[in-house]
Amino acid sequence: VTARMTLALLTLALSAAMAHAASGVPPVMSAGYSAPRLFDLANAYVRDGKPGMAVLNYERARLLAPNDPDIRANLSFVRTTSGLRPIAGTWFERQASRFASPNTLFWFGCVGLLIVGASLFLARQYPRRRLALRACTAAGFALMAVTLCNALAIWPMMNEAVVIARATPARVAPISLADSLMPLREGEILTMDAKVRDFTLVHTDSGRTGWVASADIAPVIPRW
Amino acid sequence: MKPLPPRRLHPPLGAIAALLLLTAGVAHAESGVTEQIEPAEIDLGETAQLTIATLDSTQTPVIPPVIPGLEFVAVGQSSQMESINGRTTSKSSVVYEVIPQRAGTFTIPGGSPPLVLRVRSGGASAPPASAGAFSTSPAARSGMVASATQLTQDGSAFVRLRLPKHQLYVGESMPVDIQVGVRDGLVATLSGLPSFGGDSFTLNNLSTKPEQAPEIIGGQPFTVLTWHSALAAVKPGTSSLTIDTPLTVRMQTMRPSAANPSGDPTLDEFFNDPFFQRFFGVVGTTEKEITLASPPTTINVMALPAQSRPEGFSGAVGHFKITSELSAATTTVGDPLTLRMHVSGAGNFDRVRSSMLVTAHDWKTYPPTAIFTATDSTGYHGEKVFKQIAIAKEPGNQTLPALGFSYFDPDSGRYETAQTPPISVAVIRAAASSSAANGRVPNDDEGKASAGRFVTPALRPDYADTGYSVASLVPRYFQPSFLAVPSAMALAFAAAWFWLRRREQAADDNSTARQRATSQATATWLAQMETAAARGDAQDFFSSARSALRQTLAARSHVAPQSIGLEDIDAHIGPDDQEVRQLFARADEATYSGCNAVIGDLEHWKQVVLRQLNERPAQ
Repeated sequence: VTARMTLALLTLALSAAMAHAASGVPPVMSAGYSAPRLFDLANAYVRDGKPGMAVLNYERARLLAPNDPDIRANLSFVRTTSGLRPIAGTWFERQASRFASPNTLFWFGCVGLLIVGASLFLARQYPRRRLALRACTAAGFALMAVTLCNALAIWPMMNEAVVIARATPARVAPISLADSLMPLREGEILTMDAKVRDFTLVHTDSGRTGWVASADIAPVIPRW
Repeated sequence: MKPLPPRRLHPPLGAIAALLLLTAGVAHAESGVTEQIEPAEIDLGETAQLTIATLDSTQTPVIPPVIPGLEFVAVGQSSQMESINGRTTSKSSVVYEVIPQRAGTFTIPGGSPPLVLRVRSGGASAPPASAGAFSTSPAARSGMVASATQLTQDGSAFVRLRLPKHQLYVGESMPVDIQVGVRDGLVATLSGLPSFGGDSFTLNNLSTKPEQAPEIIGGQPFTVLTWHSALAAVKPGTSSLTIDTPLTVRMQTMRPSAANPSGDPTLDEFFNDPFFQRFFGVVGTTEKEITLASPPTTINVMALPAQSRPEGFSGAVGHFKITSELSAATTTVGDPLTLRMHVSGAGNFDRVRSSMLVTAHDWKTYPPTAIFTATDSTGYHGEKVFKQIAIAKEPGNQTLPALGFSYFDPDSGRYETAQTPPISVAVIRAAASSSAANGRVPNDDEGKASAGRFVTPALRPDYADTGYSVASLVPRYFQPSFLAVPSAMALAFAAAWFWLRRREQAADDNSTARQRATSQATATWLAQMETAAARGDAQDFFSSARSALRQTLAARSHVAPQSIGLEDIDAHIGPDDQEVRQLFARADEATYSGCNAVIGDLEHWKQVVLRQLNERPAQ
């Protein structure tokens, strides 16, 4: 009786989680970030001649809707017109972005975890169906692996920032009077390292390092 | 009198001049010179046209006389040759624009009888294109009224301002021409653009490259530079406007010997001859910075009336008309349309503003954008186009409300509100389509494409907000509240797994204990069976043997050993195990009848019991 009740509860939870994940529609919130809003905001910045803010908002919109062709096209357009390299990304990022957004992939990972646990539990109870349940276990592990890889691929974005000011210099030290190492292009994406007072230590794609005024850059993912 | 410098005549002016020649009202038959002025009566601020024609080109060209209060500006020249029966005649004519500088009756000598021009007063504020005024020059066509030409003390240069009128309203713009004239032969360069002091007016869109034209003033040829601009009144009151223009003048200077006359006219004429002075190097040059100022022009600026000022008046003053258009007459719910409002005319377009549709039932609208296209160099004439995105919310025959625009008409002196007619749109219900296609806002190119042209947009259009949003951009992998979900699931599965393992372990422990007890009991009964066999006690032997078999059979069937008797032994043994049944029967017989068996018989049953125990372990 205990085994049957557990199976029923797990089946109910699994079906609910799968329906939620498949719909991709999280609960509606009154305010916050949305891909259309960020996209429109970025378009407005493009028309206003501010490529840095435009790239920042396109990147944020891409985080919520990575498989949106319009966001990708406009981001490429702004980067090209600003003299920046076109967007690339790893093979896994491209494939995962075709599949679903990171937030949706998170729910797929939860579903995978649920499948793994339930199938292992049931295999113990029903040894005669062990083969089919082991296949379910493998599928659950596959979902969890995709989610985990996506999380690892996204992790560097947590420290990425966009140059939002024109003629931003990277300096040798975190003071305004320090010598300029190199000019940074507006819209260029940097990796943030450390922060000292009003300056942030950043790394460029080419591997160069310098201190930038924190007001001249904006993180792609604002921390909570 | 000096000859007139050659002038190029435009074909239309040449034709007019030829026509005037044919219909000349005043002719000098003796000299072959005819003069005509049209019209003979004008208002102050208008211009007339004087045509002087000579029938023989070999004659000395005639120039207009110098008349105080009148200014003659050459606007064209033409010549015509005819050969009839071997006799060749030539005609040439020069057309002058006569600009009066005051009212009165002027007599232009040279003709027989002399020409008379009557200038009525009060023409300065008259409408610029009044009937009867013969206007051919650009300034005259635009209704410009020139301020008096006031030459410098040496008569070498002047600055003047051309205005269409002298009364303005606050905020109103009007096109103005700023003219700087330099007498031919004077070498001068501009050191800066014309400007004026004071804070009552602003000068907008001053052309950087002035137009250049010749002009005769006081019998002297001048080169006139003309800048076009728009003058805007900033505050009410009567102000005097003076235009300043910096110039660098290069002048020739003579050495003292050449400058001082010798007293002998013959020698003075010889030494003052330019060829002599240049040949012997007695002429030098020097540069001088001067600032030319125009005579003050009085302009009366009136405040806009506060009464009956319409709501939404943005300060536009001028003459405007508006039209509107929609990018499509039929649309789908959720599909955006582009609504355009065209405001065209003349006035201060920088103050032409509109919010278009702010609230419209069943329509979602976005803030409009505006683009101004000037049709002249000063930005006084042109068209401003407002564009607004509108999205229908409900299907059916919808109507976009009329658009209004309020402005102040300086001619009538009152506020006007122009309105466009409402626009009807057929809105059909949206079919199932991709979410990306719904609610997208077209850019300019898409708006044109909907009109039938294919345009590839550089920037893809805006989306309509779907209402879905997230509180944080941080991926859920890294949000503690969301990480609790998989963590709780993992903990639940681990707990369940541990509980299951514990349960199985406990079951294993019970089974082992039972098996051990069964084995011990069986061994005890076997030992007692051995003892009974050695004693020859058949009753005790069969009882012990039955008890040993009962232990094993009970452990296998999970029942109590005492519950297994002869009557239900068949349920615990196979069909081939009749020896067990016989043993249970002999045991009952020995118990209840006390039979005795021989030693050899007991040894046989002992082997049967041992074999059965070996074949049927307890578990």
